[in-house]
Amino acid sequence: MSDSVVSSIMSDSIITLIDVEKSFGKNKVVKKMNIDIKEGEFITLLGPSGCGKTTTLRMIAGFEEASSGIIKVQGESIEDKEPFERDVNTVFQNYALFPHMTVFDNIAYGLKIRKRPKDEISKRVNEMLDLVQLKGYENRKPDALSGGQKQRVAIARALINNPKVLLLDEPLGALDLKLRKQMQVELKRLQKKLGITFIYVTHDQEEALTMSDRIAVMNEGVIEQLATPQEIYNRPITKFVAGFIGESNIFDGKVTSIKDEVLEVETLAGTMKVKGNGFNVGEDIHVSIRPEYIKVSRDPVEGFNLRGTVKDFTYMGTVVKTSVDLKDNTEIKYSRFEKDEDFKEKDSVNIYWNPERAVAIKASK
Amino acid sequence: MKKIISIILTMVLIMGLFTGCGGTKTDPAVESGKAAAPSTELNIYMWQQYISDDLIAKFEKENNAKVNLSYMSDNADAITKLTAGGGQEYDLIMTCDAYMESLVDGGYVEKINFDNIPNVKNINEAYWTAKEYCVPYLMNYIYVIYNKDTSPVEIKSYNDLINPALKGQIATIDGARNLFPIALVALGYDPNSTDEKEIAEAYEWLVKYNENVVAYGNAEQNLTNGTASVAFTYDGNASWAMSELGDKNNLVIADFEKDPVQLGFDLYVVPKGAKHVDLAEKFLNYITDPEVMAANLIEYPYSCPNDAAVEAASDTYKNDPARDFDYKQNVFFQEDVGEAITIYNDYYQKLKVGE
Amino acid sequence: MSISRKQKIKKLEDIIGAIYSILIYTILYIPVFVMMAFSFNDQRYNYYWNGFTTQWYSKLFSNSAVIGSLWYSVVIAVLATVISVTIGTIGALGLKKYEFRAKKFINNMLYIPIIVPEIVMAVALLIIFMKIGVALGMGTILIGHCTFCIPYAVVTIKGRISGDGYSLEEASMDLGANRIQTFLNVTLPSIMPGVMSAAFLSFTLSIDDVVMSNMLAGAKNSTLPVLILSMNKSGVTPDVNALTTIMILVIVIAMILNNLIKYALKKRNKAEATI
Repeated sequence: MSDSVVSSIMSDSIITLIDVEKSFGKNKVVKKMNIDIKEGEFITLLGPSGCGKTTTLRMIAGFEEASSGIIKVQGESIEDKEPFERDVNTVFQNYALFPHMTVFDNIAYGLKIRKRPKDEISKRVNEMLDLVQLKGYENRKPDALSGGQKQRVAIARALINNPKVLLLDEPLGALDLKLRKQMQVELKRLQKKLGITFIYVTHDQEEALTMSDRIAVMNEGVIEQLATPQEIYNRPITKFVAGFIGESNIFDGKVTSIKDEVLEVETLAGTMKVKGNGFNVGEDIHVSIRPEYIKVSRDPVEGFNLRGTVKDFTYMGTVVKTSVDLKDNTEIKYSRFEKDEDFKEKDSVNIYWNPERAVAIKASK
Repeated sequence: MKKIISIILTMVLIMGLFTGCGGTKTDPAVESGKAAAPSTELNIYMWQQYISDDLIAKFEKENNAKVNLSYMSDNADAITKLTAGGGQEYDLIMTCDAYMESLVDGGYVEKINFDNIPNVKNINEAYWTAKEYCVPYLMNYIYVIYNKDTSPVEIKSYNDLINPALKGQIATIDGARNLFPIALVALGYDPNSTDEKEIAEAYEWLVKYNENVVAYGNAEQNLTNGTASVAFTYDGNASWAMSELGDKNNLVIADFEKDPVQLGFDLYVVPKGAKHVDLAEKFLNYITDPEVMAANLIEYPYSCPNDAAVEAASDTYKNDPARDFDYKQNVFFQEDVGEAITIYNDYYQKLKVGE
Repeated sequence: MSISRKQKIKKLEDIIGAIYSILIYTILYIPVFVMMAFSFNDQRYNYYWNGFTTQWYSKLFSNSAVIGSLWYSVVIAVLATVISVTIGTIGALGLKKYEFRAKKFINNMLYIPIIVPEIVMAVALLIIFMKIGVALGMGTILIGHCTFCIPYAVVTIKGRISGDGYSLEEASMDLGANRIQTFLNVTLPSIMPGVMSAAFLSFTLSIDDVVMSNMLAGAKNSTLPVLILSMNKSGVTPDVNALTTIMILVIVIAMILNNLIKYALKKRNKAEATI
């Protein structure tokens, strides 16, 4: 592996994946994965199902062996270590609580296995119960708990061994929306309080954006972009990221001219402007624009030639979404806090935007 | 890693399924059983409640040996074990005359050295088929008895049994090879017929017979408690019933004028590979001793082919009304019917299902 | 009259249900009660009631053949249970939790000893034992019983293993337990109900078995059911009734105790949970 990656591992790196690959038979689910996770970081692996995010997590936990590549914890390679020899703990998607044990015994399991003294166990378990706010439930069996309570037990159980890293595999997937929101806040609070590294797997982009310090957006076994939530949202570097995170209108086209880092782009729907550097005239390009940045006018706007017909309005509470059919039959969506009184259905309109708000994405990605 | 575990688990499972586990030990004493030293163990496979425990104990004491009796629930058990090659487990196996031909043909039984069993001279030759291979033990007549007070018909032949007046009156033994012969005899055919036409006719006869049957088995009970007034049964069962009634006995043996009755006998064979032949021969000589058999007959008062033993038997045995009939010589034996057994079985099933 | 038609129908349904249950239970238990009653009958043949006696019970304990074969049956049943449940647990885990090529084939093969008539299996085993020169006895009966107990054990335990793969085992290993600790602390307890029912099933199948035992018994000993069956020709003696009466009572008492213990445990758990 290149020296640049190795040298970039600073003393505060907790988990490093170098060229990690995983195949199941002929099916390669993780490809050349490189990631360097810092101590105390909340990092999220985000992607659609089958993108390899859970497999990556399971390789770190030791449930799957990497087909090739190196996984390091604090600079030490752990390939040969069994799951029970690794200083990481996991919160499972379906909680995986031991059904025959009480809440107390579930949480105490890690300490009991390590043959800790009884009073230490009961002290630590009580701390954990405090931490996840489950005092009084210690004698319940998992069957007698609600989903949220089970989740807390699973977290407490995973934290009792003071792991360096906590791996969370879609931990909130089974909860209803309201509880999920509440648990998101709690998890974030917990992570800040304990100061340990969380590696969080989810397919829910909103969850990722709310909680993470950094997000690794994965698709088909590859990290498409690894960046802060703001960057991911505002500056997606691939068409996939642009489409996966939030709502976007994406156009495929060719650069026809460049002037002061503003590119003029020719697409099937018409011409448009976008700010970007490092592009050449004649290059293929994707242009992504969020619905909230789209503007509409009756008259043509300089540099834009995107004519369309207003199709319909959707009221979404605080915002109104408007669909416009462009001439190549692509549909473009934009949102406003209230309905534009100027336009009604079947009106002919011109679409434009501030070129700085649009994102230019290299077509090769 | 996981693959290897799975393969091992699978292997264990397959081994478990097909071989089970746990070893078996062979008894070294058994291995060398044919040595010059006399055997100290004798394994007999026979019917339960068919030989006096006291006599066995006496034999054990005389020969300083242990007799292991194990019991069959069906004649077929013995045949299956023998034909599967399990004969070597035993030194003597009880079976009946009907199976002798196929056992001899199949080579499943040993020839018996009668030089070592002088007491066989007491056995009546008339009751002794496959003589070289077996020693008869006890025997059964299958005949008809009836209650002279309650039976609406005086029975003198098998055909009387299908008299509609006897509807719901007969307790009968069961089994294709017990029922079909009487029908065949009643119709004037060979009781061991292999002719499908004749067997079919016998089936028709048995359908009528069935109309009159009230119970299968338990003849003694059904006669004594009055459920049945007629029984087609073994003489041994008749004997139980008559002695049960004692002074009030009103059961009589049907006075057959012409029809023969079936006689079956239980006999001992030495299976191929028997390990204690010397002791088996001693036992056969012991049980054919008139005094010994006479004592056995007190406990198990069945008909006996050992003339000297019958002579020496108690008066109670000799005067048993169940054996007091004069057509004892007019008998037929069950014979191997070969392939025709399937015809019998088919018609028997038809009879049972009442199609 | 305030009773609606629906209520009337409901009432009728209840009555019919009750009658039905009573009928079923009567049919099921009458033979058992008759058998128990006759164990106190002062008559050698169980044809009619002749007066009360307990002589068959004292006779039973001096009947060495019956007691001996009972003991023989119990030893075989215990061994068959231990072996079948051990192999059955391992087999069930292997078949449920691991993916391998012949899995489906082996899964189907499992049912062969169950489907094939027992007598066929018995004779086949007898022939094999005779061919390779294994003396008949407890070992052969045990192997015979294992051939049908193991598939039942595998099927019973397999049904108790949750379908969601290894997540419990993974959770355990994740928390620092090695494979053996994981098996003992997590896998085994979570399938324990299945293991217990497999054990009960195996024990029952083994101690009930006639066909296999009959074929594979040696000359020296036989199991109790074989002995009882062989009494058929001359009639089952009342001391066997006495024995079965005792066995039934033992089972009933065991069941009552089991339920009492369960009830007590439940109560204790509830009391703790409310603290």
